Amino acid sequence: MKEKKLFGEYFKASRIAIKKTLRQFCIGNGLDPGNISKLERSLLPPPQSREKLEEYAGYLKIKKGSDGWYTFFDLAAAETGKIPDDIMAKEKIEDKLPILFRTLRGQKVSDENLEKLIKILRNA
Amino acid sequence: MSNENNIKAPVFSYDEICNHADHFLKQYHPCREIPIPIEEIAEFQIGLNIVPIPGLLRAFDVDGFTSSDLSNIYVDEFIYSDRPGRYRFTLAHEVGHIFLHKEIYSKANFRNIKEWKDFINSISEKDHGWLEYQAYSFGGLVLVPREHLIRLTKFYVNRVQEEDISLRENWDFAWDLIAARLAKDFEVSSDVIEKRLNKDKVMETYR
Repeated sequence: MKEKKLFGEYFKASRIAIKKTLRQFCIGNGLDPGNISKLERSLLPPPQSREKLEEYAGYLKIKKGSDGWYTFFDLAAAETGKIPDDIMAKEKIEDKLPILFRTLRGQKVSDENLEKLIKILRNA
Repeated sequence: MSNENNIKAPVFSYDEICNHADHFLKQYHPCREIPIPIEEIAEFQIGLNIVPIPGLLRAFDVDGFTSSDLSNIYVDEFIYSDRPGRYRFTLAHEVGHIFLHKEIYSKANFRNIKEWKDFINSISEKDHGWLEYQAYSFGGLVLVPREHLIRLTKFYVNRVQEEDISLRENWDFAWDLIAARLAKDFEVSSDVIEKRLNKDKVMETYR
């Protein structure tokens, strides 16, 4: 069975289709790359507002009325402002932690700072 | 999982790292045009997510790192948005870890935070130094392909001489100037260029 595509994945694929890196895309459209990255990784739900979605679709050069346009809106509607359950279940903080993590001077990072990093990565 | 992971850094000579970088360019950027589009390669071809993190450098003295599942490269947000040369090098360096140190990442099967801490602390300072050296060299070699370095150095040496600056009499000044111009062409810092000019013995040919 074909796995259902998520809004974030579709967003990212559309951005890549117009050959824009995340940074280029966000600079060009005055967007926050941290938030767009979360949206693409499905760690933020799609926006609820039709206006916002249309704005994003425009930035992604998705033509109004095209198949892509309907897919974009259908996927956003399917997620109804929630982070999909399977993403929540799959998202393991251990997978996102670094394995080579020392300061620029090669020193070990204190336990306190490692805990701080975990906290940051849970929200990244 | 204990501190006995037997994580050993692989041993690569500089020539071997050159070969890895060359192979990488053949695979992902065969035309070898500069500046090397490392961001596009990382995102479009390798499929990595690049995630900016505010305050990473300030809080941890770290420019960037790769997640243990090799899906994300996290980069300090300031470097990401305001330091393009350093950002590009951070990406190339992290891609170096992904390509050269895959085996180490594959051993990172920690099930909880304690195991993760044990794992990262089990890597000795010496091994960590090796791993960093290899990724650093790889980053420089990918962003500054040798044939372009030699060709453009020759071009700028001629330019300096045309400006009546004697290379021998103004050795340090002239090379600072040349490194700055090369850095612009390759979109990296002068530091990266200076290290390559020394390591690849390019400067020596003009003594």
